[in-house]
Amino acid sequence: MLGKLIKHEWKSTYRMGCLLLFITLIVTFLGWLSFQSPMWRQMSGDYYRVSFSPLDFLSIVVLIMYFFMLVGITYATQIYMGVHFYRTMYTDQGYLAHTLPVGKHQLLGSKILVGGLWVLFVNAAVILSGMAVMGSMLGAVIPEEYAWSEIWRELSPVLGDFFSIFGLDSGLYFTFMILSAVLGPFVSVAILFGAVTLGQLFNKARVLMAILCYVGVCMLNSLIASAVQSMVAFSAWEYGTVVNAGMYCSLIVQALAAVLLYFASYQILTKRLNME
Amino acid sequence: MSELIEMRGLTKAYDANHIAVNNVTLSLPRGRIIGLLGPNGSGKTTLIKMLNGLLAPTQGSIRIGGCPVGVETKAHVAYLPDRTYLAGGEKISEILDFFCDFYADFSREKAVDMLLRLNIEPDTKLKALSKGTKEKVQLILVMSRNADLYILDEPIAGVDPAARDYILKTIINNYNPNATVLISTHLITDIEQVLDEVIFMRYGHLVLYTSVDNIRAQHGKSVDAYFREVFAC
Repeated sequence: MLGKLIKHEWKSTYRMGCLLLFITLIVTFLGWLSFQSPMWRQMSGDYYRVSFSPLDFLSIVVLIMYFFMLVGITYATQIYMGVHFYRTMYTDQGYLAHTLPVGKHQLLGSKILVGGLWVLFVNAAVILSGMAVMGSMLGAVIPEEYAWSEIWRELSPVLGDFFSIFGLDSGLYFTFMILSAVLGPFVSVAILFGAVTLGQLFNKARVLMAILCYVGVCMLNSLIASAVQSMVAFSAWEYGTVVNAGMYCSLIVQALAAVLLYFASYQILTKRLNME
Repeated sequence: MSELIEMRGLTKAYDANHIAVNNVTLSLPRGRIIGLLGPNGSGKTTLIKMLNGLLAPTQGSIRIGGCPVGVETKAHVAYLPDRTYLAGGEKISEILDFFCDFYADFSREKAVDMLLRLNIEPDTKLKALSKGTKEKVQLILVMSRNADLYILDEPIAGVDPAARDYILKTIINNYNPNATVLISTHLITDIEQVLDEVIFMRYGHLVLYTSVDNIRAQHGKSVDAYFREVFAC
């Protein structure tokens, strides 16, 4: 039954998911376009001879819009997933979801898996978009005589210095970043869905209570992660160790919160479900 | 006769002052059409929601076919809620696929046949249909299952008399004869002709559970007339 639930959950979310990916593509094109104005080309030459035309002003506006829209897309994905979960689980459509002959673990699991996948795809698209626009910027401002291999050769030591200053192991750091990028979407979706489910424990204003629960959980996560980071800071006195601890703590605390909220959601759906 | 539904001390309290269902103990047999009757706010819908696992009882227990409400019972209960629970953006054919996937007792052929008799094309999107037609589609989905228990919450409320006739005809012609049909309504006159037994509820309490024949024989009245007498304001 889990496979069937995933299939139908995917079918009910793919339109919006694809739309968000398509918007990311359009926004990326706008970002790329903003670096095609003459001003950026002139920057690769003499800075003092850069002229500023209305087209350049427009390119700056488009670039600012690009950043805001990219942030907007990531938030919109989370909001959509939260609203979709609420609508299909706790409004009239929930009458169908909760009368299906499927277990609550399967129901929750399918929603978290599909929601997490969409957040993962959109996050990946946003990162790729950022890389594409960054490439477009570098292509515009770096003088033509520079080769990419040459740029990378010059950047490598800087990156090495960066890792050594912060006391980071580059292998460990990239492993953590990949793990965080892959697990993060599922963790964030589980927290979001858990908060929405917690909101259903209240008799009135369940949507508002769900939002407040989500804000509360996020604040509590930050507080615990900061507290652990502070404890490490007092014991270590080393900037790199503190930064590392903060990074790892944040993911671990979020993952723990996701697991806790998942089981809380399961208990609520099994023992405290109150469809209005 | 083997009992299909067994409720023991079933209670649902939303808060200390609002007890929607109060200590209901009741056993319902197989193979009957039972009317769940009562004025507004008597606890009919709350009782039905608990039977379907949409509300957790505050106290007491429910067993359907010997099992507590859960995955096993949901596979054998066909439920028509008093609202539209289908997503408007979906085509009817997609909803049929959904029901085929999750309910082993769902007959697609039967559903398509009933839809076509009403001139409803399976390729139509649900949001393109009128409220009454949506209700008919939902009823068709429910009655296309070969379930052990059909629970219909206000199936004839808010539709015109012709649609009521169609709905009642659909229920009578399509339910599994070994199954029980539990119909909640306060439009008793329309439904009385099809009922075998009735349950009267008031303020969350079970007032009466008896056969329609018994009401007619003992009180010399129709169910509707007797209901009016019992629930007179």
